[in-house]
Amino acid sequence: MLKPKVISQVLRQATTGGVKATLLLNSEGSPLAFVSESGDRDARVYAAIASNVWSTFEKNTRPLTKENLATGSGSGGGTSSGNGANNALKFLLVECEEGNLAITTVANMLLCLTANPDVALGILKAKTEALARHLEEPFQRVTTYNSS
Amino acid sequence: MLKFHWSTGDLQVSLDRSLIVMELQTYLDKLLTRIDGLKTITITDREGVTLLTATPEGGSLGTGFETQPALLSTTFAVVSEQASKLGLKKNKSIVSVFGSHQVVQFNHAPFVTTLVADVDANTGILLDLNNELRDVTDVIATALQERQNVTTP
Amino acid sequence: MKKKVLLMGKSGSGKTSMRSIIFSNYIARDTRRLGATIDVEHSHVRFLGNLVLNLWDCGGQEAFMENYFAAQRDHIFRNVEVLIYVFDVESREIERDMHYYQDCLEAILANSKDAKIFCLIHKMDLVQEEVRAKIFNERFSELKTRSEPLKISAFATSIWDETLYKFKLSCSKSQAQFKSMEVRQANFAAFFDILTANTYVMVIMSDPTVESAATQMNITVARKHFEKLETSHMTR
Repeated sequence: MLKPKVISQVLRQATTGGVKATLLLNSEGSPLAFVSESGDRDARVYAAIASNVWSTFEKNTRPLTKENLATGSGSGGGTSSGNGANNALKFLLVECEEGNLAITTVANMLLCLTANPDVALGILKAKTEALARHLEEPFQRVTTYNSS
Repeated sequence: MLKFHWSTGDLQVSLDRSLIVMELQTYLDKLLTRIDGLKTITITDREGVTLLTATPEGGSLGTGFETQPALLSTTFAVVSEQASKLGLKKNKSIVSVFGSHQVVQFNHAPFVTTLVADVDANTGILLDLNNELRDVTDVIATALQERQNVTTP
Repeated sequence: MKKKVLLMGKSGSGKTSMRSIIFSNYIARDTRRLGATIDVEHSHVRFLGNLVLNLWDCGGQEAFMENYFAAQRDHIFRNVEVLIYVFDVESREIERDMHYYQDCLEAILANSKDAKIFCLIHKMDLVQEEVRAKIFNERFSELKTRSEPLKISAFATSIWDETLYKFKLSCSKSQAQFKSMEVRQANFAAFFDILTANTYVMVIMSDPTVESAATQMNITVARKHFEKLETSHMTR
């Protein structure tokens, strides 16, 4: 079972040092929980746009990630031999003039952090990934209930 | 209005303009070799029509990411517009990370600049190219403007 | 095992038409038959979502009745969960009806003593309205004494009873259209949702800051558990 209070506490811990809002969204883009320094309205706007941005990218690049099979790699060893599944979209970083958004997945949900522009993008990315790792295991359990 | 392909072979392009194009092309080609893991650079308009593109020599265009810049550009055009409504002013760039690739895209209105790189390339260095590449698109924009002024009296 | 339901009663008392009315959404079209039921008609009836009833509609003609109590006795009366016995309120041969009924009870007592028994005093629409209650009470008390030691319940019924149709329509409608609903106020949020095929759930959250999507997700998680409970119970 999901404990919204506990989730909010965890999200609150990440909402420091220039991070303005931390949100957890279901696959439809509705927030399951969020912490926002600038109020509910802002957070709901972030939720709607973040989930839309993610799904647009995911949907449009699906044909690219699928046909990405091992091909005779020319220059360097960089050409991946991954299949479609593990070349799927993993992370998005959206840079705007007055703030940045980082989006990634936790189980079948989305985690979204919004930060002031003075937070280095590398820090924002690392923070988002750390939080996602922390939430992944417990949420994996909840979502296997949902799908099995 | 911007839908024309501007290549060095275009007879209508005057000699000095084609020189500019060649310079820009050379510059982009050099960027590819200068930055580790960078595969392609593509400058398109918001409908996905390619204006300039640099791909590695010998052409190891293995994956869809490198061969279909139009799809990535039009996706960015849509998403960037949405992101500009976040209440955080204008969208500057978007980085999308996949299992084996990363795509760094800049809002160089009216153009979109798309960089495709290996997933382990340095994202910071790629993002730092924003202003440098903005200069490139500015040159193209100015040249287009001049051309329009010539053709429409 | 599916629940075995015996539908019995004298010929022409209205068993098959009643069956058609109640389950017409679920069983094949050919139940709209006019003739008498020959021997026993088996049908599996899906009811209230995923409840499956194994309905035995036993023809009421004397020849068959005798046969049930003799040759087919074990076959018919074993493992019965529910016996529905239909009486025609207009019948002229009450003694005879009672005789068959008691034979039937005897067989039940011997083979399925835990079966629930329902007696329907049918065709009540043919009785004058003023005396319906009186007649029903008389029949019921007689049936009670005759049924001892078994306990029974009795109902006055009619296929012409509009309220039955209305109820049925409202049930099927609400099942088809209702998905979920949420009521949110300053100090609480209430959620109504379909839980399993047979149940609904209402959740009241006293903390209005908890997001709807979180509560809905928890309902989804709970649904799996309840569905498991329900299927394990049904297939015992």
